[in-house]
Amino acid sequence: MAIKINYDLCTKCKTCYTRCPEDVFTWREDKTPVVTYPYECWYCGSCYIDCPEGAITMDHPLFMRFVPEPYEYKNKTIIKREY
Amino acid sequence: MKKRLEREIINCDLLVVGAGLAGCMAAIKGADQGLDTIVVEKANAYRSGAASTGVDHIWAHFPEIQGPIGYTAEDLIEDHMDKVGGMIHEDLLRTITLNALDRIHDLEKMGVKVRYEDSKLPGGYILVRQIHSVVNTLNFDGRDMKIKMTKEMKKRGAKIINRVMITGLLKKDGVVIGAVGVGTRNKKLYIFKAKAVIMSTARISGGRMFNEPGPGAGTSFNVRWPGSETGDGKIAAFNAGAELINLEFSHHRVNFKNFVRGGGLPYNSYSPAGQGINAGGDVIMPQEKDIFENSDNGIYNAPKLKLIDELNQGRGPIYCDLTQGTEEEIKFSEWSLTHEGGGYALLHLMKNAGVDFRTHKLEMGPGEIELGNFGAGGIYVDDKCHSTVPGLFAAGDEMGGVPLGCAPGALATGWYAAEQAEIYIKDNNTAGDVEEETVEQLEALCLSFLEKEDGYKWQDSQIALNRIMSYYATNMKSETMLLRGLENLDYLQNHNDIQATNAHELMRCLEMHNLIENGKLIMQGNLERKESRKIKSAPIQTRLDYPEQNDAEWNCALSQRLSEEGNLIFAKRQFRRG
Repeated sequence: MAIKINYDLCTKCKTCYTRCPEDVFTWREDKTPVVTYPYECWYCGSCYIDCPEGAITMDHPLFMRFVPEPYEYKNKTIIKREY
Repeated sequence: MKKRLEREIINCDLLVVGAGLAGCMAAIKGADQGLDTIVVEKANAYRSGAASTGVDHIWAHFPEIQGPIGYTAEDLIEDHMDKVGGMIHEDLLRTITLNALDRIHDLEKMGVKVRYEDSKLPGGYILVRQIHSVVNTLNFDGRDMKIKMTKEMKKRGAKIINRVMITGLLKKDGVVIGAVGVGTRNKKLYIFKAKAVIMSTARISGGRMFNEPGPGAGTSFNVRWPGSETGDGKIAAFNAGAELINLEFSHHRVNFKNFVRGGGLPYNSYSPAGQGINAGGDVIMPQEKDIFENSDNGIYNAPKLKLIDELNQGRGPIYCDLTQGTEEEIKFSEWSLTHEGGGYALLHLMKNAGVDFRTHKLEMGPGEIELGNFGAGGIYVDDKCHSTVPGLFAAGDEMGGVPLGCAPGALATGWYAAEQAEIYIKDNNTAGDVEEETVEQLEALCLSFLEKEDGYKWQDSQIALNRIMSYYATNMKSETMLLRGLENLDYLQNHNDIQATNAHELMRCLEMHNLIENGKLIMQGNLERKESRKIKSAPIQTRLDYPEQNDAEWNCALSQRLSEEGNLIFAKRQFRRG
């Protein structure tokens, strides 16, 4: 969850690691950014906006998402009453 | 041998703590005046603070637009006091009102776009109606303003030190002579010696104080104001003897049900078509252009509470509805949200969910409890942004006294505080030797977390704090509940056996220490203010044992300070009409 890095696109420029206001990234010894503290992400979008390669996407956790309204049930239960 | 943390001593004329909008402006002005200026920031100035990924709206007085209709700056000051209500430091409000437009022009010179070819107004501005009785809130391309301000600070010669958390102020003979902090990526102790300090460390993130379950508790920092805003400046100022005011006030908001950040839809500067509706489709919060016609109860917060009340009346769920809007209005909202904090992430989230303003309603719910905004809690300052301790200034949201000062408040008072600090420095050359005591205290606190074995994680402390605050200090407040709440906070601080295995966790542990101390100040304020109080029908303090507003006793700010002997001193402060 939180932030996903596409390492095929990442050029290791450190922008995400440098700018993150909640310091969720660490810089690994093999010179790549790692999302070490995903639970501290504020979803401000700074890494996503500022990544020059477009290598970052935000993946909001289930509890933060919008349930569309109107919503189309996928598994609606059929109810029959015996009273 | 006693373990020591590595130390670095840094000298400057002016130390600015916190590089949000206020801190950036203070550093720019400080450096511009020739002061050796350092701004120290817990995160990184490029994207730190409440303006992190943008602010799309700033209220101001635009003489070329409001002049012809006879609405003067003094009218705006009156209007603000009337429409927002509450306790307002009039001199500071005047400073903001008279300077906000100049600061907007400063931003423009830094490369922030504030004028538009398709504008129909003099000056090329796009203005909307937000707080006041005239159309005077600028909508603009504010998404990257922090990046531009950071570059400007560097250009003017202010030194930026990122990833250092300031935890205490250094004093000599009753005067502030610097600050001490710790590196959030290197565990180093930083000792700053300065001739004046400006505290621009924001309000407290209400989510980290009250949310349940607590942020970080296997969830996220799903909070409206930055999770890094943990009242560090308030505790440093309080421990240095400064007066803090109105910390007891808090208020409720309506936000998107699951995503707490993401602008203030349905009703705000960026949602001309937004309306708040209940399950039956009844319009509870009318569109912005209609809401001002019925503004007797205060235009800003009361309509939002009315929408939340639909839930209590059995008419929920409640929604933000833009489907009635024209394509032009919706496009405007999408543009301005792109530039408003969290809005960019909100639009990303909507796109992923297949949710569109044109076709979908967005569910709303009671948002996080907010501290400091309408109550205007913070460091008590005079008309020069100078606190009650010589050498300590405050600006932006850290400064108490101006409800809904917001972005113009931060920009104007940051600049103004640096101007006043320069005058103070000229008159008072106060550099002195650093007292070891404050540094030793911080080192001991850091080591207590770093050397703990088999300790709890900081998140345990966060959950405990949130549970205490939401239970004892929200809607069930009474003398006995608050006294019990204070016992709980004292117990928590005395048993706060949390462990830091690295510099990042050390920062979080220190934040928990500060949050618990702030929690005590909030509850002590709640306990002392023996009344319930509303600002324009929106509650900011509710005591079940004192349900009435008591204007005879309490139509004033409540200040708290620590005496030299370590006693808590309460005082009442009046600052209306200067």
